[in-house]
Amino acid sequence: MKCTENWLKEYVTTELDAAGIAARLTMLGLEVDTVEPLYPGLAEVVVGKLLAVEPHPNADRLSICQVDDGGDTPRRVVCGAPNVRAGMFSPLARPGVVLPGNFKIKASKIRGEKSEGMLCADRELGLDDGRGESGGIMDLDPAEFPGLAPGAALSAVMGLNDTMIEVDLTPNRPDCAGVIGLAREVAGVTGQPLRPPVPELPADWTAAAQPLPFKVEVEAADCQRYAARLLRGVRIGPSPWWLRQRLLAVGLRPINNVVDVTNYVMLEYGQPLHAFDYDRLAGGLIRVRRAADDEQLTTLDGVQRQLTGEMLVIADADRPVALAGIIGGADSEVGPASVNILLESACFAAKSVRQTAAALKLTTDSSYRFERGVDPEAAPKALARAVELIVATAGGEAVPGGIDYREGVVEPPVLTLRLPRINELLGTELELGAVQKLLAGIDISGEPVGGDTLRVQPPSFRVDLEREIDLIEEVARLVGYEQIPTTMPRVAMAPPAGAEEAAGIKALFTAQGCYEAINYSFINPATADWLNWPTADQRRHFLPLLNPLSEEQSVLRTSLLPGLLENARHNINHQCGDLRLFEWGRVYQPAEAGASPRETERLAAVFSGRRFPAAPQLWEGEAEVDIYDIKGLLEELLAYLQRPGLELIPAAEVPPGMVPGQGLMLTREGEKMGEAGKIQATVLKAFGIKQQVFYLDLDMESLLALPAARHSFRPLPRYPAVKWDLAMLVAEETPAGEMLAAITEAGGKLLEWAEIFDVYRGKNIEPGKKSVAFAIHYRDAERTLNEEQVAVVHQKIIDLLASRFHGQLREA
Amino acid sequence: MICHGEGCRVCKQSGWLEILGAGLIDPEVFAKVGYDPEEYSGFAFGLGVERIAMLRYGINDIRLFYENDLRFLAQF
Repeated sequence: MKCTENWLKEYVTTELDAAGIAARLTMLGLEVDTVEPLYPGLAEVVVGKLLAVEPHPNADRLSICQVDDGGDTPRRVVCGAPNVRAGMFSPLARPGVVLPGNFKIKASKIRGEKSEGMLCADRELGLDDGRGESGGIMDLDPAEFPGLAPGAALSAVMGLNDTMIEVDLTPNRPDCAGVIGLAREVAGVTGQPLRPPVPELPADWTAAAQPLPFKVEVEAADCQRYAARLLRGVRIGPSPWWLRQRLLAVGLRPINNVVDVTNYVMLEYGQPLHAFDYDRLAGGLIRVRRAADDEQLTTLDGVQRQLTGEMLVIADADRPVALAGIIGGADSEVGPASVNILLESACFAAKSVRQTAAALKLTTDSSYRFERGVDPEAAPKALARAVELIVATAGGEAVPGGIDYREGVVEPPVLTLRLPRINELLGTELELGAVQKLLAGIDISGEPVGGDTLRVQPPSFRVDLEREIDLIEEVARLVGYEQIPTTMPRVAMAPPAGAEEAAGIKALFTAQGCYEAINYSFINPATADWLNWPTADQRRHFLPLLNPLSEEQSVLRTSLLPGLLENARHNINHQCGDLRLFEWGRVYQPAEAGASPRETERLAAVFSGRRFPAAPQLWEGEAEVDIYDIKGLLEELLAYLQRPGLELIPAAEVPPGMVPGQGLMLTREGEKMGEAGKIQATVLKAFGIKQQVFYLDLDMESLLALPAARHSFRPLPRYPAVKWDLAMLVAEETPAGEMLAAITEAGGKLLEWAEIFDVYRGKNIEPGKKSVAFAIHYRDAERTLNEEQVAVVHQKIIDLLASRFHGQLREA
Repeated sequence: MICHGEGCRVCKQSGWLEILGAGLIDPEVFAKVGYDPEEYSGFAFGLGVERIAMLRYGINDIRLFYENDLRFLAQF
């Protein structure tokens, strides 16, 4: 909704300027989008009076004008306009003036004749209606502009000092789709009275001495009100400047005096009006009815529209002549030849207009208002105002009497507004009288009942006030949200359970060189194929979105890997191929019918590129990450988690899309809680990645639900430990982890701990074999161990390794 | 913070960025989920962490938060 500062100030007196008004409106919940000075760059343009006009000696189409600009001597101006004549007033831009479009006026010689300025056309000043060529320079009519005098500032004469204010209306405030409505808000918040125009409207205005020459028949309940009057003998022509100016300022194109008045009154009252050419209405009849399915109507925009039985139309005796509340028909349009005008001011149901406008994909200034809800009581007032303005600008006279059908008008409900409820919800300490006064400021009258209640009859223009809470909102707005005291909430709040541990895990990942990624939960379902998930894979059961933005974001993720692999591709494509990314987030899967979908938390990571990108160790060089980097991260995590019973074992089965022999599984008592490994090249290719990627993917929900280890103190050892080394030659495929387990098994209670310290292949080792070296720490809690005691256990270990793994002791 | 109120792509040329929508909860919301609105009232608020971060660090494109570009992540 656009209006201008001057326009608003016709209805309310305020010291506020446009910016001040905008600030107040915004704080009232009527957000102002734009405050824009109109007609910039015209401050220096003055009125010139053409004293004499003579032909240019060297050019047929040019004239030399003597122009009085209020100075001592007339100014010589060469002008090419065909309409120059002595005695006319026209805008004059003197040398030094910069016109819109950065057009600088200079004194010059034109075809040998001196010219000291420019007489301007409306287009050159930005004062045209955008319809192209006008007849020449502006011909200012002294009858229209009383202040016209040589040298007078043009903007003062034409009233150009104005500012456009655009309000972004919320759908619940149709009353502010008219300048009077906005002025009412300003009046309410500044404590000034509202001065709407008061057109002459006697109580018996519909009464007529003779039968009216037209009839109105309303046949549909969606027409709540229909007021109409007939004007005879109007002279169609351009509107006066003040009217065109207002329309242009808010972005409407002037058409002719009658149409412009209907638009002007719509902008003023928020009440859409329509003018029919009465002589085009068959039978002098207006019927408000549903269209028939086979009917068509060519609307004012020249489009022929197919109507349907749901659409409400205005028809004459024969055919539809307008789409009710949306747009008129071309046949009955008011044009240059129109003489008799039937003016409609009606109220149509919001829903009906909304549906028809949507069905025809047609939004107009009229439908914009009706869709939101028009004041059913505005119709006769707006009609009277329009009649007054048409008679003033287009002449003619109104036929006495008129129609005012109002059987569809529903009285607004009477509301009860309780003071304690206001103060409780708003945190205010208002008194009843203050509330009553605030509401009265915007024409909402309340009558005290008992000590702390108002009986409120919302005004007809506030179709949005339906409940007590709506009135409480009004009170909040009028008090000013910024005036409501600030108090800190008293709420017991604590971080959610597990937040601390989660933060610790994220910190651990970050410390290991990872960056945290956050991806949308919406993914492309095709990623299931890219990841090579088999048909039976649970992760293929996506929850689809009802209104996805695109196919790429059409389902909820069941795994974090698609997002992380997309991130990997993005980074690799942007020359950041050394990456360690992790994401902790929810995945979603449908549950049985009737139940909410299951959401579980997972933690996944992808590693790719060089191991030490920033500062390669001398001995590492350009080495790339491998499965041991992921495994190392997992081991760090397990050490941090301290959940007993978790085992990291080689994956018995290769997960889909992953490389065999490089998979790890995190289990507890046979239950899988996560996996890690290397992603297959075919999967990576589907994601557009051309380098190796390793991953881990953990079920954090299950992991964190496990009981944490309980630590109890063990006395410090009093006797020394003995460390013996052991190297076994075994087949290449023998898992070292299993050997370590066998050592622990055979070592008994003397074995304190054991570790692998070397794996060697190459010189002196036959092909297909490897040497695995262990350091074994022995200790007895009761005594110092001697060599013989250790040797017995050590031999047991060697024997077990030899028999179980066909190992061969490597002698030192 | 980003355009200093001049108007830019982030604020849709308005000079303003909404970062914390808040308001009284409509009593009908309570009624709908079985709470007596005469007994319960509520204040709802929510802040978009991205927008706060945009203001704090002068980030001019909200999509950066979801691209997970290392050149972005490594700045914080």
